[in-house]
Amino acid sequence: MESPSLVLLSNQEALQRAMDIVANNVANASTSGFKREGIEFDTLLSRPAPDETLDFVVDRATYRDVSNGPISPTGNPLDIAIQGAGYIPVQTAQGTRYTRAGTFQLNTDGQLTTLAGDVVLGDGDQPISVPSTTTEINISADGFVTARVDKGASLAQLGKLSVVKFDNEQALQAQGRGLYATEQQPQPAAGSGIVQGALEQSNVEPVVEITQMIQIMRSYEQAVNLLGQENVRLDNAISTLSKTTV
Amino acid sequence: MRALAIGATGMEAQQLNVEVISNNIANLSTTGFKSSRAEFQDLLYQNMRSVGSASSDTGTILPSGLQVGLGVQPAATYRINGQGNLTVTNNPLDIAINGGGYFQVQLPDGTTAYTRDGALQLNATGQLVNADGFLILPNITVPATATAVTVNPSGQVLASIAGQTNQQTLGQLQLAGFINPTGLNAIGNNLLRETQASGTPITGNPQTSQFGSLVQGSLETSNVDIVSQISDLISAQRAYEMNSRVISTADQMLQTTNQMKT
Repeated sequence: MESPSLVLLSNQEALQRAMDIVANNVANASTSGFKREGIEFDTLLSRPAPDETLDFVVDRATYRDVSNGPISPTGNPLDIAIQGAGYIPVQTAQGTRYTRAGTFQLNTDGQLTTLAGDVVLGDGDQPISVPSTTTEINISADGFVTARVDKGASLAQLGKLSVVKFDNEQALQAQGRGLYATEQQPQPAAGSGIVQGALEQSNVEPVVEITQMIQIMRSYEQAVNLLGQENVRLDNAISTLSKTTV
Repeated sequence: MRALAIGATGMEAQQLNVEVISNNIANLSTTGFKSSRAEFQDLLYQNMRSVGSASSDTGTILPSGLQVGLGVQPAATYRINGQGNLTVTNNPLDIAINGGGYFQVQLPDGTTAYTRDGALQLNATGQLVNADGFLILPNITVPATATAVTVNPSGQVLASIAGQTNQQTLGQLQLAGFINPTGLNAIGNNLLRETQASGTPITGNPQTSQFGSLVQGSLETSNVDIVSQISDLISAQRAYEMNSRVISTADQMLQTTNQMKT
C-alpha cells in the first residue's frame, strides 16, 4: 500500500542529487578546462508481488560531457589550450594525473608547472625546463616548446608537451583542481593540437543548465503534489471503506 | 542538499572575479601596471559509486560512477606580464623598459623591491629616486651643475655639465629579471617583491641577455585591455546571477518539501 510513496521518494532523492550536479556545473562556469557533468537515471525494477511491477528511480551514474569548451585568448605565453581531445599529464604527489586546464607557470627550477605547482610531464615523462635567460617562449601546435634563450640567439628546443588520450574517457575520475586520475594506459592523442596564449573555457552552457534546473524543480514539485494526492486517496479510501463496512 | 553550498561557492568565486576585474579597470592609467586574471578550479568530488568498482561476483565492473562535485574555488590571481604601450612624455627622467626586466628600488627598510614604473625623479641630494622617494639601485647621483641628463638604451646615464664640452658618465642603470615573474608579490605603489615562487633576481644591463632596452622620455602604460575587461565583467555578473538562481531553485525545492502533507 505504501509503494506509491516509496517510488516518489526514490524520485525525489534522485532529483536532489541531479540539482547538486547542475549547481556544480553552474559554479564552475568560469573554470578553465571544466567539463559539465550530467546524471543518468535508471529504473530499479522490483517485484513486490508476482502480478505487480514497480519502477523505482535510481541515479546510476554521472557522465562527463567531454566536448570541447570555447578557446579564448589570454595573451599569456604560458597559457595553453588543447584543441581536440586529450589531456596533459602532470606529476602530483599522488602520482601522474591528467588535466585540460592549461594555466601553466614556471617554478623556481624553471620547470613548467600547473597553478598548483604540479610539474608538467612532456614527452618521455620528462619535465620541461626553461632557462632563466629566456626572452621569448613559443609553443607550436604539435607541442614543441622552443625558446630564445639569449638575445639574438636562435630558437632552441626545450622539449615537447605530450597530449594523451584514453580508451574510456568516462572512466577518468575527477579529483578536483582540474585533475583526473585513471589506471588506463595513456596513448598519444593524434590529431589534437595545442594553442599557445589561450585557455579552454568550461563547456558549461548557461541556457542548458537553467533549463535543466527548471525541469528538476518542476519534477520535484510534481512528485510532492502526487504524494499529497496519494495521501488524500488513502484518506478517502479509509473513510469510504470504513463507512461501507459498518 | 548540497546545491545551496555549491551555489554559494560559485557566488564567492564570481565576486572575486569582479574584484580582480575592477582593480584592473581602476588601474587603467597606472604606469607599468600589469592586469591580473582570476583563475578557478573545481573543488573536491564526492564519490557515491566509484567508477571501476566491482558490480558482481563474476568480475564485472561499473562502466561509470556517480560523482558529485562540491563547487568551485579560486586557484590563483595571476598577472599577465605582457608589454604595455609606450607613451612619449618628453620628460628626461621618464624611462620606459621596452622588453623584459624590472627597475630595482631600495625600500626604507633596506630591502629591494622591483617595478616597471620608470617615472623617476631627483631627491634633494640629486639621487635618482622613484615617485615615493625611494632610491633606484644601483644609485646614480646627478650633479647640480648638470644641464641635461641622457639615458641611452643600454642604461648608461650621461650628463651635460655647464662649462664642459664632453658629457660625463654618471653611472649605469641595471635591471633585474626573474625566472617566474608571475610569482612576484605585488605590494602596492607599483612595487613588486621577490618570493620563493619568483626565484632570486638576476641583474644585468639593459639590452643584454633577457633584458629589454630603456626608452628615455617615455612611460609604459598599463597593459589593461579595457574591452576584454568589460566583456569579462559582463560574463562575471551573469555567472553571479546564475549561481544565485541555483540557490533560489534549491531553496524552492526545500520549500516544496516543507509543504508536503502528512
